Amino acid sequence: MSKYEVVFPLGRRERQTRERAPRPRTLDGVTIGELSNHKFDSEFVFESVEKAILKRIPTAKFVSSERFGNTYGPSESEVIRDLPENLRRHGVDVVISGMAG
Amino acid sequence: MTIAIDQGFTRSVKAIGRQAGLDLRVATYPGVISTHERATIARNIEDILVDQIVKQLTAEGSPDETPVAAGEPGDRDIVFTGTFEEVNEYFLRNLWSDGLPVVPPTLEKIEEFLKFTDRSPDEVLGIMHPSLAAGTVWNVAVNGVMAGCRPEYMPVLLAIAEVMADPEYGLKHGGSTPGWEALIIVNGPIRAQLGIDDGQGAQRPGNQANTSIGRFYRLFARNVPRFLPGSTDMATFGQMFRAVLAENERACDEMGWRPLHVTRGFKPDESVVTITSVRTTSDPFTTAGETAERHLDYIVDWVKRMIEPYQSSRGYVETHVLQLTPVIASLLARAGYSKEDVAAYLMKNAVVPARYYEWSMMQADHHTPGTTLAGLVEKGELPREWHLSDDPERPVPLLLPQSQWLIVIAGDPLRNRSCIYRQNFKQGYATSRSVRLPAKWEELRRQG
Repeated sequence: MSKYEVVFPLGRRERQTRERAPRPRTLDGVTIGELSNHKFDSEFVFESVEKAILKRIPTAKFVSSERFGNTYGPSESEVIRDLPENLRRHGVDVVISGMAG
Repeated sequence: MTIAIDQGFTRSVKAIGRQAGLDLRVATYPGVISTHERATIARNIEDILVDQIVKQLTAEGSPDETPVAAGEPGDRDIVFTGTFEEVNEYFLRNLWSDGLPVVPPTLEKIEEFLKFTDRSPDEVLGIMHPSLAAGTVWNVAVNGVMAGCRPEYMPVLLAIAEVMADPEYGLKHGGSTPGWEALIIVNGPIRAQLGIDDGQGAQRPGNQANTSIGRFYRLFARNVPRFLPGSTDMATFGQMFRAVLAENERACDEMGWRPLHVTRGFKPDESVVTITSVRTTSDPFTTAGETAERHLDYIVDWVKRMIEPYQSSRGYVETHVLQLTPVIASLLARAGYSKEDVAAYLMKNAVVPARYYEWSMMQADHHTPGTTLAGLVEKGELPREWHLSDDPERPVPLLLPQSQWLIVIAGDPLRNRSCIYRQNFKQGYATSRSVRLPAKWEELRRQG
C-alpha cells in the first residue's frame, strides 16, 4: 500500500516579541479608555460599567468611546489607525473594548 | 481588556489572542445580552461583570505569553508518513481538514503546482488574520493540492489568496456570527483555459474547476488565517463552501454589456478574480413578461426582501451581487439598459416606507433605544434623503448611495430566473485581483 510523506499545511507565524505595557495594580486614579463597536446597546453598557466601577473606585476616570469613534463602523480603518495616538492624547492607561459578540 | 458575550465569545477572544501569542484579558457578560432588557443588563454588570473587569485590568501578565512560532515545522519538513487513510485521519485529528478526504500534500505534488507560477514559494502574499500567519505561495500550493485542484489552477489560487490577504477585503471578520461564505467570480480568458463553467447548473458540485477552487478558499481560510468553528469562527450556522462562478462573457459580448471585470476597471483580455462575501442568497426567483420594467420591478421586490434597513442605518456600504441569466439580461439590454442602468434602477427603486424602515432597524440592538431616522440624519449618520419630511409613509432608500451592485451573467441561458447575493459590509467587501500567469503558461498548459 502506498505511503505518503506529507508537509505542514498551516501558515507559519512570525515570532511575537512585542513587550506588554505593565498593568496597574489598582484602578485608583487610572484613566480608562472605552472602545465601542456600537453593538448590543453598548452606550448603556458603558454607562453602567462606569457607574459600577466608580462605586468601587471613585477616583477612576473614563474617556468615552465617542472620543475614539466606532471600531466597527464606516470609518473603522481610520479609527484603528489613529487609535494609538488618540489613546496617548487622552492619557489613557487601560482600555475596555466591547462588545465581542 | 475585552467584554465578551458569554462563554463562546470568551473562547473566541482567547483563541485569537493565543494565535497572536497574547494572553488577552476578557470579562464575560453572562448570557445573550441581546435577549436581556436594560434592568437585567444593569444587574448583570453590577453583580457579575464589573468585578471581572477590575480584576482583568489589574492582573499581572500570565507566563503563557510565549512566542508562537517555536516548534512549528519548516515548509519542506515531513510531518507525517502514512497511507491515504492514515494521512486523512492525521489531518482530521489536527483540524487541518474540512472533513472531506484531502489529497495528501506531498513534496512532489506541491512542486507540480509551483511550476505554474514564476513566484518564489517563500513570497509572502500577506499576513492573514486572525492567525497572523503568513500567506505564502507555498501554503497556497499545499492547500490547493489538498483541495483537489489541478496544478494549472495555481495562478487563480494565488489571486484568491491575494484578495484574502488584502485588508480591504476584510477577511479578519471572517469568523463573524452571520457565517458568511465567499462568492468567487472569475472573468477573462482563464475561464475557458481552466474549464470554469458559467452555464446551466455551473455552481453545482461536479465540474472540477468550479468545485475544487471553491473548496480551496475554505481550506485555505481554515489552515492559514485559521478560522475554526468553536473558537475563531463564530458562525451561528455556517455555510458550505461555494463553487466558483464564471461570467458568461460570450453572452455579455452578444448583448453589448461589459463583463464584471471590465466594469471594475480591468482590461477585457485580463483574467481577474473578484471575491465578495455572501451572507445569503435569494430564491432563484422567476421574472416574466416582455417589458424590462416588469422584470426589474420584481427584482427590486426581491432586493426589498433581502436587505435589512439596519444595514444602511449603521452606515454599511455594501457590494451586493445580482446574477442574471442571459435570457433576462438580453431582454434588459434590448430595452436599452446597461449593467450600470440596472444597478441605478435597483438603487432608485429599492425604497420602503419610513415607518417600516424605522421599526425594522430597531428590532435588534443595532441602535440605542429611541433612535429615529430624524436623529440619524441630524447627526450626519444618514443622508438627508432619509428624512425629507415627517410623513411616516414617505419612501426612504434601503441602500446607501455608495453601495454597489455587481451584475454577473451566468446560469442556464434560457431560463428566466435571477438571484441576489447579500453581502456583509466590511466583511468580505468585493475585491478583485488580476491573475498573474507564468511566462511559460502556454507551454505548461500544452504539457499538462
